[in-house]
Amino acid sequence: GDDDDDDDDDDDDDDEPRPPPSLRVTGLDQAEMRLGGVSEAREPQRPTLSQTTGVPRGKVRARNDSFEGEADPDTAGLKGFVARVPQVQPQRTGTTAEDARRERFAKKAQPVLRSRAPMRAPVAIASENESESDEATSTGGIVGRCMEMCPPKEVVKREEMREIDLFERPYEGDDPRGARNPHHVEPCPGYPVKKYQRSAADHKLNKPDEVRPPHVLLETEDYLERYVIEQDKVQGDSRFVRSRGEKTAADLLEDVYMFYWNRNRMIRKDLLLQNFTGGGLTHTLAMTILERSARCLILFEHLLSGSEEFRRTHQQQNQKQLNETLTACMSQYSNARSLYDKAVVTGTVHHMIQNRPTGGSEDYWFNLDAKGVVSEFEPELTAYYIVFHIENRITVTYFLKELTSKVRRHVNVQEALLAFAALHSQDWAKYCSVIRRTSNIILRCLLSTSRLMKRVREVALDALNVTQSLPIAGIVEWLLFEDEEECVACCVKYGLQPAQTEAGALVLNGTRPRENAFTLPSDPPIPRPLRRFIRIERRYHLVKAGTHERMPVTLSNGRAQPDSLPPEEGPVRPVSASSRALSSRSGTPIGEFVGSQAADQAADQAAEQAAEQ
Amino acid sequence: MAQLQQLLGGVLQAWSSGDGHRLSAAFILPLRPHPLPADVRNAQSNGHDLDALAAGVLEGQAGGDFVETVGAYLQALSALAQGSWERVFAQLHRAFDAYSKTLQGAQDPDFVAFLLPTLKVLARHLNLAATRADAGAEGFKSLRKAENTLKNCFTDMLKDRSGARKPVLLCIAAQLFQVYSRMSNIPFAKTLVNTLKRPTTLQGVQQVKADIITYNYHCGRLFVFEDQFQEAESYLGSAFEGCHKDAVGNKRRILAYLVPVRILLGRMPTDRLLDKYGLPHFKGICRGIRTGNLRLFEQALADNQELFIRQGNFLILERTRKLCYRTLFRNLQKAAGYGPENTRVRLGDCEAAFRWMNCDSEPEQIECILANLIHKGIIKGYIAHAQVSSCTCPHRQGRAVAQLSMYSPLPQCCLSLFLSFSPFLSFCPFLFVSCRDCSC
Repeated sequence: GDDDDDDDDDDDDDDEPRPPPSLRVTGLDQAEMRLGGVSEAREPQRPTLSQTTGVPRGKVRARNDSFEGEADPDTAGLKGFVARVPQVQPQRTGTTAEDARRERFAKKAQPVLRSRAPMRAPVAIASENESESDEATSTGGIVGRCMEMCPPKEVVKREEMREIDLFERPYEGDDPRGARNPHHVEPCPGYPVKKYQRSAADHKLNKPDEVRPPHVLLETEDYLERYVIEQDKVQGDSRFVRSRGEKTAADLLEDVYMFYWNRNRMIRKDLLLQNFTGGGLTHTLAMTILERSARCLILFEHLLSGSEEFRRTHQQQNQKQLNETLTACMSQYSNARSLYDKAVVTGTVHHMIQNRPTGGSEDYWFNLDAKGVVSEFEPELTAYYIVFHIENRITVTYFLKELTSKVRRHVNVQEALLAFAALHSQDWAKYCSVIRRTSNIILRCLLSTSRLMKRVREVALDALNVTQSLPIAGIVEWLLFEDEEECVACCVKYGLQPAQTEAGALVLNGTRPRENAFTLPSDPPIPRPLRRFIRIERRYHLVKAGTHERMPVTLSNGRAQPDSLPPEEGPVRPVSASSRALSSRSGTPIGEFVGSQAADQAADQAAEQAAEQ
Repeated sequence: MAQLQQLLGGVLQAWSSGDGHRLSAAFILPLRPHPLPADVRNAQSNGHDLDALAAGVLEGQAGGDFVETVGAYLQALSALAQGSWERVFAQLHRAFDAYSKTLQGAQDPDFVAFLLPTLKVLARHLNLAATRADAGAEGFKSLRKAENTLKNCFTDMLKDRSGARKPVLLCIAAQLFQVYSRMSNIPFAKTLVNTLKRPTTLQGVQQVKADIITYNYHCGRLFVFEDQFQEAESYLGSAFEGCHKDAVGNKRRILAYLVPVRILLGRMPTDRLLDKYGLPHFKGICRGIRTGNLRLFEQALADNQELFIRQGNFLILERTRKLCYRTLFRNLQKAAGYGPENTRVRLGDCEAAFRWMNCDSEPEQIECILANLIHKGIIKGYIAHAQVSSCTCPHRQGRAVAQLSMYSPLPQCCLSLFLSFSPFLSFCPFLFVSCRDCSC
């Protein structure tokens, strides 16, 4: 139920005011947030679910002393102070059905508001809150102060407008840990999340009370990834029971996607409102959010690309958003780099680093100093950027010039480069082998998007036409078709008629004489998503491909999770010497850099093996 | 003040002397350490109004627009002393605008010719300042502004019926090319090229050689990106030949594109050329292509990857790989004893050759390479999966053979290079490797 028109955020950069250069970040310990919820996810009790959600501090903080609130005793005790958080009570004005509904929604909102005590006493901030907010608005910038995933005002308003999504209704089942479903997906606790809105003349978005600061945005993204994106796998959830009867699993996946897409877009919009996108501000958490958003968008594109409905209505939008996300992420990196480089030139870098707050918004200083990359995931996202623009050789050529050698040498970037070169020199076999070999499953998804696969297969079938009696079974493997049926249908579309041999195998007879000429049809076949080569466990792979947060190694039922997942390699094939060397290289964990030395070793090894044979 | 007075005096003299080049020399921004900017800065901080200073010297001699140009130029010098490229750009932009107005007002062809050299200098510095101002900042604010200004200037000069202003067209076009390439938008320059290509545009216009060379170089690069290698070769070639023999840096820049393009078209550079211009990074590639030594080729590409990426010729060099494959197959065919009678090459042999070269030797890789080469007409032949039905062997590569007949010649003249028997083949181990796992 979202509007898909294209005229979105473009105008926002201009009319949004710029905030002061230094951002005041309050709230959670950010290093803890960034590394995510190892400890949080392991907590056994229900309230911990909401640890990833926001706490109402924005509006309430100023009047904090006059409130008597409830606090989660565990967390409060842990942090060593008694927090006072207000308990939001729904207003009871009557006993109509409308009120009952409102109460239900408020109840659902309640655990969010109540469960997690703030980790730092808000009292100190409260006194200076007013003056600072005035200052922020007077200088024309905004610093978000909404400490919840959804501003309380919006909760009330949406309740009135009856715009509550399925995923925002509270979970009412008896088994909160989701042990019944085979995927160990915890059911979504159903907290309200700020919905995507456009700014208009009568609807200004840049109100500090309704804009979430980066660490809350990160919490929100985390919540969505943890509790929303796999909800189609939860069975017996009463919220979806009725709809399940009418809907297929694919429909449910689309629902999940639409919810995620909408809420994630608002997260990025909030970043934009605070000038982290296009406004020139740099923030480590903003990078993290953009990185994670990009991965999710890529994954969803892959998962849904088989659906006609998605392709018709939403694919273009999704790619546009992905482009924006990746571009914003790259500009965050380059901003951070130029800040660092300037400090290096002026010789103040050590001074700057010593004065940085650790574990916070400016972690990139430490990363650049210690590892030479802005973020641990900079090379990975760079590879996504290259592959996303892989068809535009000028964009990529100029983009590559800007890369530092550290990033360029990273295995993912090298794979992206290999694919780039392969695509433009019509080397389809190498392109497909990059898909097969890369250990980064999200890169695989991106490399196998339907328009790229279509292009590669066209080139390949055209070239393979010089081959006589080429078995279809071979083509299926080489060009990563799902099955022979798809392959045959594709060949027929391009004017190549498979023939049957005496033994019953299907073969393609080449063009000698040229009776089977390769022709480009007006309606080329759309490749199916590569399910055979890419087996995705959404949360697992979001985590595996670039570990922003470590997923719980053991679940509450004691079963180790990673082992129970399917291996992510493609079908087993005979491996030759050099590819063995390569595959051993590709098995290195992401984040590790393969220098020329390692490559040399691998080459030597391959040479030795070849010599032996 | 001495430097400043000297500058203003020089401008005044040049203006009254009628020597355009002398005037343009006064507007060259000192990029190396020079006392002039600091001097101007001092004058400004001592309370002098630079615009008024310029007006005081030139009053009565030159028009108001020119006086503004000089004033803005002085401001730019002052900003340069402070190290703020944003302000340098803003002032140079003002100077350029004012100077364009001066030029527009000029009627006499001699006077126009007198004004043109300074316009070129200002255009060049505008481009430079925009680049410096945008370095490290997000977006291309200054470059976009510079692009707009230069584009308008280009259109104005183009519209001139008298033709007196046309000699500056190529220079402005070259500057625009640079601006576009810095904004990663080189295809935008296509309209310029199309305009300048029209026979009527530059008919009978005297051009400065340096402008022609710069323009040809940028044009050649544009055609490289568009895969029009013949066109690219002609532009780059003429740029290389016209380039002054002492401008080694420029020659190297041209060669960075010209060498790969010529290789793709079949003309290998001599070692002497590469030595002369200090381009050792092409040597491995050339040698690899000549001898079919894929290992050497890959190594050269991998070792110099960063350099090639920076030069922007990484992708075309990747595409010369097919020539290396071609020589390798050719040598394989000779070395493994295939002759005119026996032209069928087993794919297993090809695989062995590739394995020996440390390359991916999956069967489809070989078939892909061969099929592509045949498809593009670089090799003549076909691939046949002959005994598919009778074979029980699981390894397909044993069964497939490629019928490779005569190699089609490369487009140009260097066949003798390719035909030469390369020394490494005499030790070729895969001579004895035939069908690896298969008895068929």
